[in-house]
Amino acid sequence: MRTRRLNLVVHIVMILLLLGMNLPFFWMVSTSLKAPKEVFTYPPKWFPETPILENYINAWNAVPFARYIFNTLVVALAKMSGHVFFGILAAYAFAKMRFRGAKFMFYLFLSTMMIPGEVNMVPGFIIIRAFGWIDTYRALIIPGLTDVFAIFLLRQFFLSIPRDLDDAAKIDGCGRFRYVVQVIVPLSKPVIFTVILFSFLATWNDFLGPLIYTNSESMRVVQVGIAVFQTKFAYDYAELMAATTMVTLPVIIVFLFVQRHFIEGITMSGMKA
Amino acid sequence: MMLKAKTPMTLEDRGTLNRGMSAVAKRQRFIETFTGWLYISPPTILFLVFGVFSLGFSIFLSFNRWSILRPMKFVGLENYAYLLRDPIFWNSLKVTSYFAVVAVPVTIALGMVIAFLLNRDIKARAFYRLMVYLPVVTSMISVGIVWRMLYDPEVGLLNYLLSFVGMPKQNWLGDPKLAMPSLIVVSVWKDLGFNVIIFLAGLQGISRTYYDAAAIDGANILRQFRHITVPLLSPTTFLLFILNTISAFRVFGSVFVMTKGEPLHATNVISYAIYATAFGDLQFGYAAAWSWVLFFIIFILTMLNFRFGERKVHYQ
Repeated sequence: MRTRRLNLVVHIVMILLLLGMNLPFFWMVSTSLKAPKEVFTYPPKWFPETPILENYINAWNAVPFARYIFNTLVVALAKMSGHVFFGILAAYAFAKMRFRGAKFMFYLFLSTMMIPGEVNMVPGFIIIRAFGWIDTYRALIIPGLTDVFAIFLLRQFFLSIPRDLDDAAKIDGCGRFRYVVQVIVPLSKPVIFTVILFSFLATWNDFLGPLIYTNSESMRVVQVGIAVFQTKFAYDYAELMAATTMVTLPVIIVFLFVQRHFIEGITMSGMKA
Repeated sequence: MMLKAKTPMTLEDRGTLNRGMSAVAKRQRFIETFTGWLYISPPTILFLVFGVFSLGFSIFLSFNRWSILRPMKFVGLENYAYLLRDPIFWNSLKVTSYFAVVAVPVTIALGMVIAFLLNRDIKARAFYRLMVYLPVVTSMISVGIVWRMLYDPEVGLLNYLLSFVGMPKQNWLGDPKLAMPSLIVVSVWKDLGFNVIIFLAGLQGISRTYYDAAAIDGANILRQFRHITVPLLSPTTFLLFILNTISAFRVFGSVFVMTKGEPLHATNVISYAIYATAFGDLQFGYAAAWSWVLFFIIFILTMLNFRFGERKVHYQ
């Protein structure tokens, strides 16, 4: 049957494709477990002779990895909280409240998503410097404390909550803020979870901001950390891959656990756009 | 009388019909407006500081020469004039355009085909989707570091795999002719999954009856793809074209981690050149002017996309 044959073709293409797409990750992990000498043999070996964990230990000690991870987690936690808290309030206002300038402000926010962050490189640096925030957590957290994408996602969801519910609450004398906290938030748990996910991922992967706003080793985040690691140990591939794996694995694991949420979030926003 | 035809009536409106606004209603309206603005104030404040003020300051900066170490000096349009005479500037435009012109269509075309294949009702679909999307969630930095190793001329995996088809070892990141294509490959590899996901969503909106009717009329898969899928996907394609183009002109991470603009400026894209000018040469005014040119390029490209692209879009 035609369909079955086509499906077979699809499977073959997909498997080839996926091998290709994921080969770099496999190679990353495989190299990280090889003894450094093994890495430089040619033809390269697919698997280590005997896997070792030494590279990870060496990488961990060569640069203050613990500190990098700590910094990243602090910033991530702060930003996630900000995105959720301020995002819910703003999204609620845009979705459920009527006030002058609401529509204008919303579209204004949307348009900022189109501005390349690179344009902000220079003035952003100078503003942060003027505030005296260079090399502090404030510089890493505050500029990104709210997120337009989060507001967009939340607003989309809030719009689907029936107006009748709002009216009923109002009749019962429920104040706005209380309504948000006690009704809207519990109803929105999936979306909020998606927002948290996106925020965490974006912060963990953030590079340009931290690169520009911090310069001392104690304030680095993981992405800047491995970039610097590569500068110092450019050809120590085994240790380099160990460092990269440490930074990439959390993302992969988180993603694998919650991928459905993730993909739904992207799909939803893509459709609305 | 204030009958707002645009939005549906709320409880508040009902109370104002035929009577004009009572004092109570006026007060309620005021509280609503105040609370509304209060709720959107945090993002608004950040927008004002790091958006509006930041961009405005950047314009101001672009008219000055400033290297932080010495006082600012007003130079009017000199930065822009210098920019137009700067071969590195023109090179950055050329190189970034080369990147975009290749990476964007390839990523979109591949994304469309893969999404089309994935759209069938096969069991492993979710798994395939997942694996295709994986490179998207990882950071460009970590991915760039890995690919740099894969591109290693002596011990890299790529040269090893290509040796099976008789290709001699290439210096992927060191050869000026190969450096940019190498970066393009990484970019396509990384962003493909995003396009696939969006296309998959778009494909949901194409009714099966079109395909069934075409199949009855004897059209094979290729024909169906060309005459049904592609036209009906055009809104999605249009959207992705815009997003991908904007993203392509902003390319930075891969350059920073794999080539640093080398060799011989072959990969010295706009964003990286701006970065090097600002934080390497400490020429902040000049870098600001350069940033504005980047901004305008993206702006104009997006406008052009809308202008010409939208005509080709087929809405159902």
